[in-house]
Amino acid sequence: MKRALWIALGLAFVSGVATSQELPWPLAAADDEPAPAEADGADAEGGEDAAGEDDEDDAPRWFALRGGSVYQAGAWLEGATVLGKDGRIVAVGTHVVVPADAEVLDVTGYRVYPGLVAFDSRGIVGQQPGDSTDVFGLELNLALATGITTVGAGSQLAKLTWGTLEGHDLGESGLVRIDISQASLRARLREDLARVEAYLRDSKIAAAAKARGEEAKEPDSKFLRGKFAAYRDLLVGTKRALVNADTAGDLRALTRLTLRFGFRAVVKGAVEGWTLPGELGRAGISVVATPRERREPDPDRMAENGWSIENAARLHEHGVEVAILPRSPGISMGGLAGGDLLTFPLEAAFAMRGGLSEDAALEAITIVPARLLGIADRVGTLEVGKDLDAVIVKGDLLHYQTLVEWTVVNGRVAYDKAKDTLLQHVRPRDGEGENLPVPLIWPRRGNAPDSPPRPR
Amino acid sequence: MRSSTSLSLALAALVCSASLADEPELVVIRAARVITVSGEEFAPGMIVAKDGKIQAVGQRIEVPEGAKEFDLGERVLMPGLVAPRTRFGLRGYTRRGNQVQQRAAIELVVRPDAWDGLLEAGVVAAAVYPEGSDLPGRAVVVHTHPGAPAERILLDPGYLRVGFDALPGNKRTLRGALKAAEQAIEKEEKAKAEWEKKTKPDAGKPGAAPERPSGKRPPRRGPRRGPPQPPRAPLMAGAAEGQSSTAPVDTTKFNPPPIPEAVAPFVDLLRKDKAAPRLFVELGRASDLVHFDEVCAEVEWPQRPVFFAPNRSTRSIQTDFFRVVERLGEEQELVLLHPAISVEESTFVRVNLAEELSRAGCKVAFVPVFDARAGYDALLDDVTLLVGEGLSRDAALKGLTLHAAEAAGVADLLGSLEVGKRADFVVLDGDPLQVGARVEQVWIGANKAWTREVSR
Repeated sequence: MKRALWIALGLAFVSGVATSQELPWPLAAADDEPAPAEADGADAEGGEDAAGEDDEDDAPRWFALRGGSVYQAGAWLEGATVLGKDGRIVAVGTHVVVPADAEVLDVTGYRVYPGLVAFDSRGIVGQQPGDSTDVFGLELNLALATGITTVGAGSQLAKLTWGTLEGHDLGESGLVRIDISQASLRARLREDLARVEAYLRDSKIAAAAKARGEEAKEPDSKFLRGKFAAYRDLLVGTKRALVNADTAGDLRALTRLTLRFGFRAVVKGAVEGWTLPGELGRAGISVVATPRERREPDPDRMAENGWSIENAARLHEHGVEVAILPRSPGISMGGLAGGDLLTFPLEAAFAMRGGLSEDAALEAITIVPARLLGIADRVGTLEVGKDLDAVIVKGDLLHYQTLVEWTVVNGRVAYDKAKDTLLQHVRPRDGEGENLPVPLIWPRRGNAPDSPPRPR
Repeated sequence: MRSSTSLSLALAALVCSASLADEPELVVIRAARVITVSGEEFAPGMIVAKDGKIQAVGQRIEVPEGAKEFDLGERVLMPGLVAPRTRFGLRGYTRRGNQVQQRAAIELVVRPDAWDGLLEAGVVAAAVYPEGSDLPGRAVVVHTHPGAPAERILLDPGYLRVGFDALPGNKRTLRGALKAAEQAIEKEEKAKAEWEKKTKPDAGKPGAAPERPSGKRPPRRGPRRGPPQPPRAPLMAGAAEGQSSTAPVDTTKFNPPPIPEAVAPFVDLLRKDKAAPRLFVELGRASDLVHFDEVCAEVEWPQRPVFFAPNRSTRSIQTDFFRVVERLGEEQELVLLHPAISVEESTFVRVNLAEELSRAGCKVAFVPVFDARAGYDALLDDVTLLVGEGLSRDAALKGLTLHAAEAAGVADLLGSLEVGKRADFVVLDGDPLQVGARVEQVWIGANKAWTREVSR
């Protein structure tokens, strides 16, 4: 270990900018020792991960994205390399030594974003992802072509692995569905939560009494099943609530509930959230918003109501975590640039149109949904220890004309535009159209007077 | 050719010397061309058969006098086609769950001429599969030649059909069956260990190694080839549990715990027993193969399974099996296909799957799109079109005969014109892989079974 440290120091000296994150791997190479032992320690805290990794072969699977501009929490790391081992990131930096047997994807001149996370989806993965996903499905293919690498699907979570089930199923999301759409339901919920709260209090008192050595009676825990068990998880803070609420009235009722019982909630919709952003922020409520969700205001109501394109921006300003999801969480072939997951980054661009910063808009389709789904330790950013999920594009991901070139999931190329039949002909990579300015080669309507002729 | 000719000469001489009055007579058939499929083509060629079996194939074979001679003139002779998956003319029904003890053989209550449609298309043998999803039972291979059901059977029970096109239900059933088999093996080993402990108190000492259960299988419950039962009979695992064995129990021998019928084939499979059935896995799409591989990751196949990779539906020519060509080729799987040019899903990109698979190293066999007279009538022409699109002649001919016979499990009897195999062949008015070639005669057991009435 000491020797390794010396070499580490030497290496840091030579490379000048090597960060501590990069050390575990280059060390092993410099020492001419088998790399795995060192690197294993580096990402062992990953826990249960990588099913099937052990049974194949002992050689680690290295994968590197070399030379791209890597998005790192609001900044761009130019000419950087992202190195993954067995699907996990082990190094991000400009001086990363790539093992000789690594699969290298040269992305010089491209931007590398973390893989997108869709808070909810329909039809992309199976209802029981591990047992029914079509891993060569058209929807899956198109979701990958959009840059999505992780989805929530109902109560399930899944990585969009292409052609393999390894690392596909992420199990259940840590969300408890509650319904507050009617006064009677709210009253019922209040009662149930109060019951669980009383139980938690009594058991705490009993535990304290026992600690003092006194006789104490444990409260009856038989009822803690089904919804009550879920409510206990809510109240102790291990899970968040998932609520569908759009109107200011429902949102206000929810803030009262969360403040009274001290649990955290994720609101899907929150169309009128912009009218009470401060209240939502103080109540610690997170929002999954749809910037293009239109709801005309009711002129008979005195208070501000209806939709606003500024919804996401206002909420974000007031400290509300905002994730963005299109109106329809499926993949739809009908219509033009519709409100479905095919235009997922575009939805975030609409939030920018409403005043959200670009970084916040990117977070709203990557790390924020990951956090709300309880998988921020695995996906959402390009950090050491997380899964190597990346979207590689030329230009700005949130621009409506940008096409995804590669999508990487678990350190495997899951989508390559040049090899996929669907979009390979649009601005072909390394083809004649590649370096033309975008407006010249974007398909236009035939007889528009000032439109230049389309190549091919 | 010379060696085969000399061999056949020797054989003919042998036959001649042993010829007695009650011996079955020699049959000699000459044709302008004889396509053996397994070896070379003879033009002109001849076949010598005795007792329905091929004695010699060659260009010129000396035959003793008295042999029954047929001259087919300008016609072409090739082995009879084999339908590896059919329910021609049989009734449909639904069957679900693990029903591996069912046999399609009990359904053969058909008119003597029920399979004339197959016969007239040149099909000499057909594997009739049991209807249903999940694990509906074992197939039966029959002759298409009119006759009593019992005389027709070539192989019973045949392959074990595994429906794997409706996930997750199918996957659950197969996984359950494999798990039950694992448990049954574990249970038996435990019982064996206990029995050894009881009977041999010194078994624990070194030197007294416990005997391995060498190839001895526990008794099955119920008769293996019982009387016909209605196909809808609810026979589930343990249904026969109530039966009590009347045979006296021999306490000096180890009596393994009984294995339920529904589990027995999988126990054989896991033990790599010779009696283990070959699985016939019906996939719906490429993804299903990935799921199948996941379920069977631990299984070491005594015989690789046969895969059926059909187009999306009988009305659609879409397919996505080209995505798993590499995986199928790696293991040189035997794959059944519809003989048609397919298109990649949602595109007009043409795929000659048969060609891709055979080039990758797979054995390909054909199943007509329509399991009816029209489908079988068009079979030769359909395959001819594939040849026009790049499929090799060898793969096309084998796909109709030898590989189809292998899929059905009767490659030792049928599928090619080789010494020792059955003298079942078809006579065509031209090359089989020329558009418009028609089957004019079908010979089964060296007897003319059918002749086209109006010859061109």
